[in-house]
Amino acid sequence: MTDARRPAPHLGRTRRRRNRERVVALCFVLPWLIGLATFYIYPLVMTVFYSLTDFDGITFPPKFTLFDNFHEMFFVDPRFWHAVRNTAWWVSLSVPTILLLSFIAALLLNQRMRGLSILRMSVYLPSMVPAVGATLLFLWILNPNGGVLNSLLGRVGLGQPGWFTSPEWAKPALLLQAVWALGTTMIVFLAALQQVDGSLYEAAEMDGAGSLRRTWHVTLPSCVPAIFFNAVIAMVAAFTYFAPPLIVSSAPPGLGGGGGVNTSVGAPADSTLLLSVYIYDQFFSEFRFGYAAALSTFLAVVVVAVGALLYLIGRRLAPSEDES
Amino acid sequence: MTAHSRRPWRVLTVGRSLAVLVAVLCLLPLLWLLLGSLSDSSGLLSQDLRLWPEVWTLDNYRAVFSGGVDIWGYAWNTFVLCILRALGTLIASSLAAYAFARLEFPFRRTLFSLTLSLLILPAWALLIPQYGMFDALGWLGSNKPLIVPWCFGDPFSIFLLAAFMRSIPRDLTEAAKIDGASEFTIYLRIVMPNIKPALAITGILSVVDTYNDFFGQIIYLTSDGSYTLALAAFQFVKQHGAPDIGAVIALTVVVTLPLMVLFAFAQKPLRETFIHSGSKG
Repeated sequence: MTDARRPAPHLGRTRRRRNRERVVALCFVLPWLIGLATFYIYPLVMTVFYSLTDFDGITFPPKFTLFDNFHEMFFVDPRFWHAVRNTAWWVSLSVPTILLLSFIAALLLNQRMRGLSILRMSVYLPSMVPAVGATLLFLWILNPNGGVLNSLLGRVGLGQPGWFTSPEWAKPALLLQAVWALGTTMIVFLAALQQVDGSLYEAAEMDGAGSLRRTWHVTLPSCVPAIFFNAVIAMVAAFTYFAPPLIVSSAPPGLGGGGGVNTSVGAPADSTLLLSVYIYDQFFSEFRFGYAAALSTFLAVVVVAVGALLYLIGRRLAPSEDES
Repeated sequence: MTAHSRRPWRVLTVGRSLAVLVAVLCLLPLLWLLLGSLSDSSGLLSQDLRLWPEVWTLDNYRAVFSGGVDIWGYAWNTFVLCILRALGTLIASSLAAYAFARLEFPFRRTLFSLTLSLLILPAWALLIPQYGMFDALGWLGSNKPLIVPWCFGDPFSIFLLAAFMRSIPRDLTEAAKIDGASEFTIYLRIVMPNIKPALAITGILSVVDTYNDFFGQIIYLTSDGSYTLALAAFQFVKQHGAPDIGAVIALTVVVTLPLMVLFAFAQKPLRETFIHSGSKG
């Protein structure tokens, strides 16, 4: 209000208007600022703090134990390394597999043909099936005792794996289920493919490039941003894969699962014990809040580091079209 | 046109057949699920491979709906959770998105980058202090921890809505501003009606995300009366030592169906936003 009495009235008016605009803008973001501080920044800081304590959720204040939790993780707890190995297996196999197969699916669904939208819908549909529904469905299909897939494999004389009931086949079974739901990744690739400049294809064809070489030299470079976008999303999803491994390790063998009422998470034989599941177990079943916080901190650091790495590589490889 | 017509006929046929094959492979499990839920449960797990029901029956559904599982109650819980969280997300996120997309204020870019970077932060890194917070508020066992935080905005929705709001021509809002309309009027009367498809998409994605937020549900919905459909299905499978496979299959259909129905209704906005937004035409 004092601005109004300033000597340069015109300058004062614009400044006042700008200040007013700022206050208005602040009103619009205020709810989010409160949410950001309360539900993101404060919990994030506290998770790191708890990871340095022996917090059990009841005793206040928790005892400060410095790096005891991390020492236990890295040097004492064999289940932690088990979870790390399983998570590494899962991320390094599921992410490339899903990216490659969904890219191929997008290429196939980018042709001119009759009934194209029905085909696209059919490939997209499984990714809309809720995680619990999809897992129960695959427990049934992959049931070693009378499930459809093993019956088929038996008919054609192939081996019949134990899938979710066997430590060796439980993770491949999870992968099979994840691949089935590649629709969302495929849709992003499809959108990118439709943006590829048609004249590039014609130029490549005049130079005598076959359809495989056209895909490699024209299509692929144009899709680099979409590939890295999908890679980051798939990576985060893989590190936080939770419902399917938890459900298959809780379902009894009669239903094709590896667990039952008395088995622990990660069954059979800790083969589906991903870090995400292990944190849930330490937090929710063992009530070791401090240790679970240390595990969570480790998971978050790894995810953010891999995400940053992918982002940097992607920015270097992508054609510089940021302005568009 | 030319690029396509010059391809050899054989390559085209192989490509098209493969496309059909992929689509069939994706649909088959869902088809089996539906057929399985309608056949008698004794044949659902048998070595002699039955792909078509020998006897058509609704017994499996009867077993679910009368077997002491309160399906309608769980469906209601799921509905309330999804609707309230989507509404809260849409209101709060669109306000923040409007500020990020169309207003000037200090640290706007920094704040937006910070918001985006939260997209890759695993929920696990926030869980324990949030749990403590909701415990202190007495919210454990209720759906409040799964709704209230979203009423302050959600990073992904803010990002999506801001992108759509930026695409509205400046002229449209400048004219209203000259007429003396306040920013809130512009937001409510001009910007929001112009991004209706984006709001629909954000709402649909929020519902799907909430439905699939199994992690949040299993942690906070601890009393039987507060279960969602997904959580109830999980508990059913976990607690029944030797369950009736027919009931499990019917329950799987019941859990899956709501999102399939949503998908059917969401066809138009989904296609407008994702499939056609990329095309040059």
